[in-house]
Formats: sequence, structure tokens, C-alpha cells
Amino acid sequence: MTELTTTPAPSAARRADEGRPIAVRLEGVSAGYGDRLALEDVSLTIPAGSLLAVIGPNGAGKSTLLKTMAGLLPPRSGRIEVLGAEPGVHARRVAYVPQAEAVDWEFPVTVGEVVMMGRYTHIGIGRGPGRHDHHVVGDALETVGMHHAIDRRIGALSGGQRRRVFLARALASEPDLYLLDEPVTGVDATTQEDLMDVLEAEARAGKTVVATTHDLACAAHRFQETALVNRRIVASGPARDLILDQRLLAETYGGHVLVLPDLTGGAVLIDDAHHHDETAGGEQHYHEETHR
Amino acid sequence: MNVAGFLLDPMTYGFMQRGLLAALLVGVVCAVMGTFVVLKGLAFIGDAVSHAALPGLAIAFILGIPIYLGGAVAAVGTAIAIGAVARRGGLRFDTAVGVLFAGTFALGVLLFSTIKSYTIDLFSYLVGNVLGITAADLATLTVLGAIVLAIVLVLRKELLYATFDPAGAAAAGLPVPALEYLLLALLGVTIVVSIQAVGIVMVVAMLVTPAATAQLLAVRFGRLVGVAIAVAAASAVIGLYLSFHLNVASGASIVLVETVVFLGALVLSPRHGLLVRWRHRLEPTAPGS
Amino acid sequence: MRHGLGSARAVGSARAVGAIVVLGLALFLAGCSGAGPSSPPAGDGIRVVATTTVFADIVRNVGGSCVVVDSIVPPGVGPEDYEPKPDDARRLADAKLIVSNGSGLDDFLDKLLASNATNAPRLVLGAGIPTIDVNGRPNPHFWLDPSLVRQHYLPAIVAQLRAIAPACEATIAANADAYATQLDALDAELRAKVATIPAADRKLVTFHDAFPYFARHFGFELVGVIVANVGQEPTAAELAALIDTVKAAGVRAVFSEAQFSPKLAQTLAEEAGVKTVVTDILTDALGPRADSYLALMRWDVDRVVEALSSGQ
Repeated sequence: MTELTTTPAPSAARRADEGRPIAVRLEGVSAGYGDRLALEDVSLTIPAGSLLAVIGPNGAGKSTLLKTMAGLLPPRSGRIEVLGAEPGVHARRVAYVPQAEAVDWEFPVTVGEVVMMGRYTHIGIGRGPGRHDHHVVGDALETVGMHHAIDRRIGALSGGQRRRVFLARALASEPDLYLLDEPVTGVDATTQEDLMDVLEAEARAGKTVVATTHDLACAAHRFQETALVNRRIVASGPARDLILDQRLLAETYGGHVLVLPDLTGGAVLIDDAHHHDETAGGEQHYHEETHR
Repeated sequence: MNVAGFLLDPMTYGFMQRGLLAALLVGVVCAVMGTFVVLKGLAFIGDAVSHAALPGLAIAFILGIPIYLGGAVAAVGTAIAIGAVARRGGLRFDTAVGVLFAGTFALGVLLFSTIKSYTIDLFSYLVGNVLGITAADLATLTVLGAIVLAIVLVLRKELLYATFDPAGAAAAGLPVPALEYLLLALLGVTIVVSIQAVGIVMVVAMLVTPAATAQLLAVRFGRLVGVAIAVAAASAVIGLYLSFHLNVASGASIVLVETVVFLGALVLSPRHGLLVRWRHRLEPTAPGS
Repeated sequence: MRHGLGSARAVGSARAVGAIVVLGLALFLAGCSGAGPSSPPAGDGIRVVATTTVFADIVRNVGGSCVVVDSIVPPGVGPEDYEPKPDDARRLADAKLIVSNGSGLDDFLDKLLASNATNAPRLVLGAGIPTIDVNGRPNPHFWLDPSLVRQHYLPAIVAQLRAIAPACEATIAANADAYATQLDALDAELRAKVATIPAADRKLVTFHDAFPYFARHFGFELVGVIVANVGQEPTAAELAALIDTVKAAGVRAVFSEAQFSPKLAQTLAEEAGVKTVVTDILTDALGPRADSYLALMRWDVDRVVEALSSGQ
């Protein structure tokens, strides 16, 4: 298990055995929309082969973080390096799957055709898909459990099914870096496990997976590293260690954290409601309750 | 009259042969471009760009350069401007089309009214007639149509991706704005060349109706384009023949045939069809779609 | 992604759009600099407004310095489908006499006068001329027969001008006489020219139906017309029938007019094996090379003779 740097120190402190290339590096990055900054002075280093969960409350800038890495949102300040270059330069080696597809669901395309779009950057201009491409598409759909729907119209699917199809598109593009916004949200438990198996396999194969999620249990159990985000990086490092750290969670979520014992089978409850006695200095407090 | 006569009599006239070929060519190119028009919500772009050519004609006349060139530049420029306005202003395409349609046409009328010297009816030069196709017209149509189709063919995957999922395509590294402007420029060329051949009414219809019909009948994008082409081609042939034998306007006949085919698809479509929906309502216990 | 990718490009394209708009405005301003709305030069003649430049010219020749004549329909536009502008109403309001042709040529005038009533007398040149009916309607193109101008237009104009400008009676009479002489000379000249065309070739195929009086006077056969009603193009079957007719009649040339697109005329000529297409016949308005009625008639006959008599 590799260790990631904890912010705010910008220079990565890496373990000796890590000779892995850096997939993503952010230094002092601030980004936002209009006059609102969603991210402030973020620094993060993600080596290749990471399986990283980005966690934080709503509006914390998780999606923004992915978009800056995908090259879709230029930062206001700071440096971003993706696969050794500016974001967007190696776009073909990056698969970005946003949270909600802003696509026209009435568009006349089938599931198979959508997944094949992931292969387009591998197929040259002017050429059509070849047998290998069809294989890859078929495999990707099998992996996400949607192969049976390969000839169905994209609009005829449920929300969870659509999400799986777009994930299959990402898989089919055979990227070096996955940027996934809420890939397992709204998906049933079995599928969730299957998808995490896939992502784990990709990471083992040296691909980098960066995913946002609300599901703390999934993050703690299935991800290797995590970054806790609330406009800035609160902490980053091994997933289990950080997520079990109630103080870090409280700091990230800015509210009350109720930790029921046995995180391995239990749950963490976070009370996001505003408290009237919060001090100006943003002092966090949390409750701890033992066995009832 | 026997079947042979029905089919062959009109073809003894060169203008009918050329008219048929022109209608087929325009139909095919417009059907292909029309799939993008319909899917991107640009349905009135045919009308808009045709009228936008007017200021180009006027300026060309004032400057003394070939008027077709002026009209073509204005048409393509307007098509691209529609894209720029939509993108930059965050407006929907149909809004951008509406604004530029009115504005450019009014500019054209204004410019025309300032031309005091002897003028011919410039606009009528741009608006063709399927019965007035010369051999030179046919040649131009073939060459330009082939170029447009070739470009679309080569970039078909990229154009499909950029049209269906612009954000995803951009993230995958495709130059989405450039592709969009290219599509609009090709559309501008298609429209200008087509209206010189067959006139505005036909072009507007041919850009929309066959593709709309195809949407009712096909699921995959590739098949959709194929159906659109088939509908356009069949309508061109049937419409032209009917107009000859029934002694009615040719362009209008072709458009009406396309419309009838569309209505037929609307009723009979296995998925969207009114017939199917009606039947489902009558059999509530039958397994639904 | 509106707020991210390609923002620099978006600015670039907005600049391009802006440049196009500015260029368009610049050209517009250049085009209309110097050419103000046409108004009659300030003189002390009686203001007369005619519907077309042809009639304006004839009235000018009769009225001389006693009148200041202006026309409504600009050259190059057909009066049958002319849409009046606000400027036209203004000019009508100032006029002491309104001259039109009637018989369906300039019906737009009725529309204009309905909403801008004026006390000025209206002279309808075609009134009282026995008409040739085409498709059940009287054809208005009287002036292409110079004898009709001589016998009907001229006296009508003289009488009307006398009524509104009695002080000018002598000038008007003198001008009218001179013009009548010119018309007679013109007629003789044109007849002589037409006579050089072999009789068998005196056949006309024209774009629209402007030539019944011309044909009757000069002895041409009207073989066919491409556009029966102005603004309505022929159907496939009608075009086919016309082609057959033209082929059978063996004409030498097809004539179209300057204000129409020549495509249909060229198609017809190609199909029917007619080698010559003349596209600059003038009918409803004066042109750059024919700045008077007399010049217009000479121009047209020259074109016709040229096309039909030489072995082209």
C-alpha cells in the first residue's frame, strides 16, 4: 500500500520502494465557476496504479477536481500535470465519466454504439471499427453486466443501467487514467461489488483510478487511497486509516460525526446540520458514542 | 398509358433527366446533413441560411464580384455565426437560428434598397428551380455534393460523438467546437448549392423531413442515415413523376411526398407509432413495450 | 463545456462575428453614401409621378421644362409584383399628376392610393385602348407597339398636361408635335429593320407575356411564353409541352428579359435545340443602354433582328 502526501505540504513524501510514475500532480490549484471558487490551493500527487476515492460533502469541489484533471476546467492558479503533461494533452489516455450525462437521451444510438465511441480515439480517422474493437466493446459490456442490452436504444435504459454503459465506454477506451464521478452511486450492491472488482483489477494492472463517492463504507473497504476534500485537501493517504479517523471526517464534513462501533460492519453517521454554537474559528467538534 | 409510358415519357426530356438527377443528389446530401440538423435542433437553418445569402448577394453586386460567391460566403458565414452565437451566448441553436435569420435578411433588404442603379432581381438568381437545371449546374452539384459527403464520411465517427455527447467527446480529446463549426460550414455549402438547384422550399424540407421520418423507424445512427437517404431518394423520384403526370408544381410535389411518407411512419412506426400506442391502449393486459 | 475548454477560441469566433458585422455595416454605408433617396430636382415645373421609367420618359418628352417627372418602380424590378415603399407614398403626396398604365400592370398603385389619398388627377394611359386578351385577361403591354403610343398615350398625355398646366399650352403642343414626328420616324425605322428578318423566322418565344401588341404590330408570330403568370413558374408538363411546341415551330431564338433569371429560358432553348438565348430584352423599364422610350424600342428591335436574321 502506498502512502500519499498529506496536505498542505506540496512536495510528496514517498516511500522508498515507490518508483512509480506520477499519474496526476496538482500544486496549489484553485479553480471555480464565475466568481465562486470551488477549490482552493489544492495540492495532490497521485502515482500510477492508485485506486483513489475522493470524499467530501456536497459542493466540496469533488467534481471540480475531476474536471480540472480532465482538462475541462482551467485552474485559476496553480499547476496541474496529468500523465506528464498539461491536462487535455493526453486526453486519449484519460477516461472521464461525469456524474450525470448531459446527453440527448432521445438520440438514436444503441448501447453498443455508445460504448464503441470509447474506441474512436483508437480507430483512426476515416476508418470504421474492426473486429478487435468489437471484442473490446463486448468485453467491456460483459464486465459491467450490460451485454444483453447491446442493441437497445440508450434512451430505453434505467439510470443505473445508463451509468454502467458509460462506465463500459470508459473501459473500452483502455485508458491509463480513470476519472469517475460517483461511479457506484445509485447502483445496487451486487453491481457495486462487480464494478469495484473491475476498478481494482485496472489499478492492479497499473492504471490509475480516481473516483468520487459518497459511500464511505465502500471507500474504506474497496479503495486503497483516499483524499478528503472540502474546498481544499483536508488529508490524503491510505483509505481505511483516514476514513476511520473521526477528527478528519469531522473536519471534512464540517459537522457532527457519529461513529458507531465496528466500522468494518457498521456505519459512520454524519450530521451535516448547522449548529448554533459553532465558533468563528471554525472549530470542529464531534461526538463519540460507544456501544448502546 | 401503360407502365412503360408512365416511366419513360418524362425521361425523353433532358430537363426531366437532369431534374431527376439533381433532385436525387440534393436529396441524398440533404438527407445526410439533415440527420445532424434534426438531432442538433437546427430545423430552420435551411430557411435562415438561404435568406442570409441576400446581403452577400447585395454586397457582391456593389463590389462587382460574382454574386454567387457573395451569396455563398454570406450563407456559410451565417451558418458559422449561428454556431458562434449559440456557443458564446449559451443559447439554444434554434434561438441563434431565429435571431440571425431575421437580422441577416433584414440587412439584405436594407442593402438592396440602397442600390440605385439598374439591378436584376438578384434573389431570384439564387433560388433555383428543379426544372431549370443545366448540365453545368449538375456538374457543380455533383462535385460539391461529393466533397461534402466525403468529408462527412471520413469524419462520421467524430461528428457522431461530438453531436451526441459534446462533453464526453471533448474529454476524450476530440476538438468539439472545431467539429461543430465544420458541420455548420458544410451545412452552409449544402444549402447554398442546393437552393441554386432546386429552390428554398425543397431544401428546407429535404433537410428535415427524411431525417425526421428515419428517426421514427430506425434505432441505430447508421441505419437512421440510410433510411433518410432512401426516403429522400424515393420521394424525389415519385414526386417528380407525379408532378409531370398530374401537371402540378414539381418541387412542391416532392415535398408533399416526403411529408406523406413521414405521416405514414408516424402512424405505423413499430416503436413510436400511433397505431401501436392505440393498440396498447385497447389491450391493457397484453405485455407492454 | 461552456466555461472551460475553448474559451479562447470562443472569444476568437466572437471577434470574427463582430468583424463580419462591422464590415457589413461599412459596406452598407458606402453603398448608400451619395445616393440619397431619389427626389426630383428642384425646378419650377409641375410635379408629375409616373409608375415606371418608361412612362416617365414619355411624359417628360411632352411636358419639357413645364414638368418635373419622377417614377416609382426602379429599373430592374417588374411592376406587376412591385411592393411599394414609404418613400413612394411621400412622392405621390407631392405630385400634381399621377400617370399609370392600368390594365393590371401597376395595381400596386391602387393599394398605395387607397391608404394615401390625394387630390391629384390620375391619368391611366391604357384607358380606351382595345386590348388583346391573354388567358382571359387584358394584356397591359401597349407601349411596345409604337403606334399605340402615338395614337393613344400621346394625345392622352397632351390633354392631361394642358389641363393641369394651361400656361404651358404652347410648349406642350410644340413638344408633342416634335415627339409625334420622332415616333413616326421610329416606327418606320423599326419596320424596315424587321423586314430584314426572313418571314419564316419572325417567331417569338419570350419569358413573359409582354409582346402581344409588339408581335401584332410588327408581324411576329408568338409561339410561346415560358411564364404565363408573373411569379408562377411552369410545371414540368407545361415546360415539356412548350418544348415540343418550340421544337415544332423551329424558332431561332428564345428571348428573356433583363429582370428575370435566365435559367428557364436557357433550359428551354437547350431542350428545344434553339441556339440563341437573348436575356437582355427591356420591357417594363428603361435600362443602362436604353435611357429613353425611343432607345428602348430601338434596343429591343435590334436584339430581335440580330438574333433572328443572322445565321447563328
